[in-house]
Amino acid sequence: MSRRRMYWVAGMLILLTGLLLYAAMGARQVSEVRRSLTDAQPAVEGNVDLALSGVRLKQGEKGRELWTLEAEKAFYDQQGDTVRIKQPDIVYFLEKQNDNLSVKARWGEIKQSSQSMRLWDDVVLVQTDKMLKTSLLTYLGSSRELTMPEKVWFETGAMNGTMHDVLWLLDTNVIKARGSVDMVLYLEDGFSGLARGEKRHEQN
Amino acid sequence: AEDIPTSITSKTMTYDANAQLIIFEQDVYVQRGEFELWADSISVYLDKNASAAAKQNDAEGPAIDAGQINRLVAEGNVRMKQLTKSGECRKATYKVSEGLLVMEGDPVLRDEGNSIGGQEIRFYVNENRSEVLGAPGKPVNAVFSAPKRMKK
Repeated sequence: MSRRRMYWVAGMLILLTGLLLYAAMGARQVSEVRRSLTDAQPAVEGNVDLALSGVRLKQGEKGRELWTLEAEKAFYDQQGDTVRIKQPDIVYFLEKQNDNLSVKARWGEIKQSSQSMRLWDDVVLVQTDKMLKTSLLTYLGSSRELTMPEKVWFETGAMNGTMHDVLWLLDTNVIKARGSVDMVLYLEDGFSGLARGEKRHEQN
Repeated sequence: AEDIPTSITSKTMTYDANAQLIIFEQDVYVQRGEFELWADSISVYLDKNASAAAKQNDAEGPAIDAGQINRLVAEGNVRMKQLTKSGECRKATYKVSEGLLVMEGDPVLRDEGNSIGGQEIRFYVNENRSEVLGAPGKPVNAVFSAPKRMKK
């Protein structure tokens, strides 16, 4: 085989090998991206079409801002029109009270079609005059209501304690507890249980 | 002396931040040391703290200040008890800064067989002192039971 033909065959072989390598690399990269998505959100059911990190969402209406949301990660599932969010940090704007409400949780889910949001695991709500902690919260955009069906720790300057089955009407800033309320009030009246001059009987 | 905590339980509660008002309803029970009170509803009126007028949002999170409790108003089947004393009326208002409990609506106080009633009863909690006020058509009415005479 002449020297020229030999060089030609070797060149073709090298080219072919390169192409095969390139094809193999490409396939591996695609599967790696898909695997990292499924690893990153173990709690997420169903397939994920889009995953975003360092997310910031906003919702407004008639030119006024209703809420802003920041999250570590968001997973968008196109079929179910659901966005699942990790470590959501939400601020609701309470225009009438000229105040904001901050809500944080470990997980959340936004359903765009019904303008609703669900948050769970270590849900903490803080506003100037109060703080609430619970395990599950739902926000309904249509009525601007927060519902907390389970036990809620409630703390304000005047009292703290627990309540159940709570509804918070954001626009009027009224909270209604509809199940077993147990609070301790802070009455700053110097009442120590003894009338002045009355001695508590020594415990012998 | 440190304030004795006041615990309050009920079936439902409404917290209206704008009105600075908290309403406990259905099977409301209050306990503070040896003092107990039952009522259909209790409204807690808050005062905005003058010092906290400016909103604080420092590093540890906002100063949670709903204001101090100004007064509590118990209404409907109000009953109370403290050791040997008991009382009932239709409405009782506790003014925190004065340590004064005002009983209205056929108020009656009882203590070991003795009882007293009138138009209004004022009970100064920190002084363990009460005043009974009458009114035209509703005079003060007191009943004292004499101790049983020892048989010779």
